[in-house]
Amino acid sequence: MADFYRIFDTTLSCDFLLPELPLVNIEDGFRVKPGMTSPVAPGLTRGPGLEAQTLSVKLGEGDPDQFDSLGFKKVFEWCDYDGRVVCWCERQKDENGGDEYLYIFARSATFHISSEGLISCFLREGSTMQMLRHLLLNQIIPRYLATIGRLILHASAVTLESGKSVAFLGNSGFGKSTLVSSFHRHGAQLINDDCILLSCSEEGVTVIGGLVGIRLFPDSVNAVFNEAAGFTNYTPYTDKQQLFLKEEAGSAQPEPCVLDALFLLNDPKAEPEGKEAVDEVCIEPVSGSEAMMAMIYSAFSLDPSDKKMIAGNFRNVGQALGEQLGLYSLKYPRVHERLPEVRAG
Amino acid sequence: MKFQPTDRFSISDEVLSQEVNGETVLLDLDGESYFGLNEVGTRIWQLISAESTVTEVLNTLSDEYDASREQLENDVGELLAMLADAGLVKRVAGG
Repeated sequence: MADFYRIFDTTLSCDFLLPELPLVNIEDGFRVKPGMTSPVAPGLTRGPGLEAQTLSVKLGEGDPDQFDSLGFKKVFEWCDYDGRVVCWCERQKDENGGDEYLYIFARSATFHISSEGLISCFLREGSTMQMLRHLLLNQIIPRYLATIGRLILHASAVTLESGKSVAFLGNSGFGKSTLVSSFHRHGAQLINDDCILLSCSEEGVTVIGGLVGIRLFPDSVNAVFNEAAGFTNYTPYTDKQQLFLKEEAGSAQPEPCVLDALFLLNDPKAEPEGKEAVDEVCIEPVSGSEAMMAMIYSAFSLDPSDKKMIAGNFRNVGQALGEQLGLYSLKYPRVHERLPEVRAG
Repeated sequence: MKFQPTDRFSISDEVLSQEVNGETVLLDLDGESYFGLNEVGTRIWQLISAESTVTEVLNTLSDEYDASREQLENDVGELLAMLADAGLVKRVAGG
């Protein structure tokens, strides 16, 4: 038996619990008879409110290494800051000529992604379902959605009290989560702290987040929220803690909102030599090409070596930048006490 | 300039281009390299994409920019050579 959940603007069915995601109110979106359950294949009849396709997730059966003897070939790998491989992607053609993928997190889980959007999850010994869900929701699903043509960026975003929505682009450690947490703490509505989906509509570029939560290092938790209530460690591999914003996650399905501006955060560690460290909040317009490259490098992809995906992200980013969107760089001192100045900017 | 006045340029099938706010970003899928063109470079790219000859590119730029013919020949020649060296375009000799 599976439940239906919403992530970004997509509905997924999953045969294990995903407490991080809001459940889809089936009556709102699906023309499904009461009591109808999974399996749900992509292409399920949808109501007018749900245009995006569905995808299906299940807990796989058997050994996570059962794919070793098949014809998968490694196409890409990711390393941590110490150069150790933490994850790699393998790919092969299925019997219908479609691409199927394996995502292997050596210490945590393996994910098999069929060409039809069925994601099978295999937990590794010694890992936890919380870790598996973390990888599924923050890595596998965003990367899969990118593969089917969606533009998903490693970025944070909020809707300010003025009603304007803004996004912040920057590598891990640049302060995206801390910044939007600070905005959220002072009245802004969090869209997402790490991962956003952009689409082009008649109104312009729209933004929607995946799961509504915040992941911060303990110093930022204490500085922004004054306390650690509600924050929990979610993986043994980082000190970061996460907080799920239940009141927002549990509210009506989040709808995409128009994105008004995109800010590129400066690298806090790359202070120019011989110059004073950034001491003031500085917002300047950036060129279209600079913004485009920043967005391309932030874009999710299932196989970053695949030309089709590289070209797809290039076109999607170009299309998004063709819309009315303010493009700025944002430099600011990375001192928690100075965050009010950044918000004021 | 090492190009002939009647030369045209064909853009590699592996190259995608995108104009953003008056600038252009080029993606060479063969090697996954990105290149940026400023405003004038973007205009030249538009013109060679429209199969203009070198002379036609120079004539158009002469009309649009306040620069000497010699300056334009140097700048256009330099950019076309860079584009060709990077494998983004191929010279098609004029008849």
